[in-house]
Amino acid sequence: MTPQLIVTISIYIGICLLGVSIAASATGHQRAATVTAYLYLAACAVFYAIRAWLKEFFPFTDKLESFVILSVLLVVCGLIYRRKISNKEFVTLQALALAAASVVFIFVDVIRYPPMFLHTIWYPLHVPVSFAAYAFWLVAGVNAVYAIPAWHRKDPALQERSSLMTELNRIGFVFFTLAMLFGGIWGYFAWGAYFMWDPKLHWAVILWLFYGNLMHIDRLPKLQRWKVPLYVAGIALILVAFIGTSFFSQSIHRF
Amino acid sequence: MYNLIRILGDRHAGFILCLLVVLNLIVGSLVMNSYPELYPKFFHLDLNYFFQPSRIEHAWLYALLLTFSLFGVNLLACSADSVIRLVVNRGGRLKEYAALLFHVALVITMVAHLYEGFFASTQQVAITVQGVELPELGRGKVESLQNIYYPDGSLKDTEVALSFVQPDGRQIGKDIAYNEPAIFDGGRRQVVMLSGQTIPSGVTITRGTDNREFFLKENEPLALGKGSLVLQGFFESRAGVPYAHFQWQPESGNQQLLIMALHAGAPHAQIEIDDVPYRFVGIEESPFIVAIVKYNPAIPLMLVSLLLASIATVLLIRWLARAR
Repeated sequence: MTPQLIVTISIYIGICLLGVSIAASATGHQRAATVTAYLYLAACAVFYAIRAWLKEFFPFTDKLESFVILSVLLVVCGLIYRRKISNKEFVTLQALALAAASVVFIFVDVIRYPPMFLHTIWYPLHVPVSFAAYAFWLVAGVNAVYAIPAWHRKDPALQERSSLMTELNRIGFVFFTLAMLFGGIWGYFAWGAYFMWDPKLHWAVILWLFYGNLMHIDRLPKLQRWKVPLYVAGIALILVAFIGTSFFSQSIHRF
Repeated sequence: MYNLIRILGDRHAGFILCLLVVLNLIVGSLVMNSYPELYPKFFHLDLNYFFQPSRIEHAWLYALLLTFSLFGVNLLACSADSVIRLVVNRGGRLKEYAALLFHVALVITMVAHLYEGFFASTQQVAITVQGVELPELGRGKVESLQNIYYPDGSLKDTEVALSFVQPDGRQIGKDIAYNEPAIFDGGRRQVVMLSGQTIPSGVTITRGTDNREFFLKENEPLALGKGSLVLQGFFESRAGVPYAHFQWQPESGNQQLLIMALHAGAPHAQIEIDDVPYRFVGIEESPFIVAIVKYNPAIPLMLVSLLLASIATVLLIRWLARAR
């Protein structure tokens, strides 16, 4: 059995486990859902460990690894906030994670050594924290989507969800700030610039300002009504920053 | 005065201004993506570009400068308000300090970007073994170059030794690689490698009659018998065979174009001059790098901003840990 085959089998098994987790969660078998979600993470750990060994480097250097790590982080966030979010939200997060991991069926997986510009400590510091930020903000976005009915009815129950959105945003913001700091330092050493007019960098600034701004909304009574719609809109911004800039732009970044 | 600060630093206005900046950036991103011929792919922060000449397509940037300026004024006033409140209250919570530091760092970052955008310079140059004049850095040349490969033959890194003879006559050496630029003037000046490789620079040939060897450098005539021979350049055939163009200029008579395959032992790896065969022996290669020579006077400002943002992040993490 070749290492490449083990990589493929591990992620296929992982995807099956995640599917089982979603089914178990949707049918009310919470314990089974949690156990299979943890098993999915274990399968992904095998997937990344072998890729790291083959690449002799941090294994977040291609689009397949990027999508799978987003999937992993969504599952992790779902498990962390399991008690604070509804079962529907948990299932939605798992479904998003499944969709992200399913890119392994779309792209051909060729394990290559990383290009020379990635060989720096700033790269492994920059990438996971930015994906972690995406994951926390996506959880906040999903939370906001499920808050729409309460927001529409002006239901006081919205307050609990609103606090969770703020908490998730704060954590996401810390991660993304770190990503910006590390990315800026890397850019200075690799390309002589901490900022360039590149779509990925452009959208990183957009995300940082957008979510940084949203941290203030709880203290602005006249604008609080816009909190839920803005968090929902944030999902679109993340998708553009994560997927749009990599597939539909002239960016020198590929995830 | 305090009233003016409170009006300028209105938080509702700040929130809306920040959203406008975000919208502006989104529009800018779409415009840049729609006009790739106007916006180059490796485009450093050069704000002068948008005014030389001004174009309707750049309208998003002019609007961005305006909204960012208004947002900057609001941030500054808001920060001043926070400082006043912290002084009056004789201190505050961790969150307040973190927020204040973030806002100050953001204002400094905005000023630094503006300063860089109008006063920085970026130049892409090829630095060779012969050397090239670099602004303020003197004459820079490549002393040695070593490519490091992965087991599959793909490039892992390139290590280059550079030397600089500075305008004051001082000579210094710098080693650079990918992600390891040569840094001068407290970080304001950089030489950043984009690619490094070797190129053919000359050919050694041997005369058939006496096996004497001659070395020809590109475009440098070599006196040979009753004329001179010039190596004009290196090419590759459609089949991938490398070859060189020579020009033979006899003392009397017409110029002749001669072609030599650069593969020892190949049938066409020789030329004939006055019925004397000259065979190919080897290629001389010399290293060169393509580098960005950057001058950014805003680096000290950015370092201050980086420091403040880092402290703010640590404070925010501590506050979040306590809040949980």
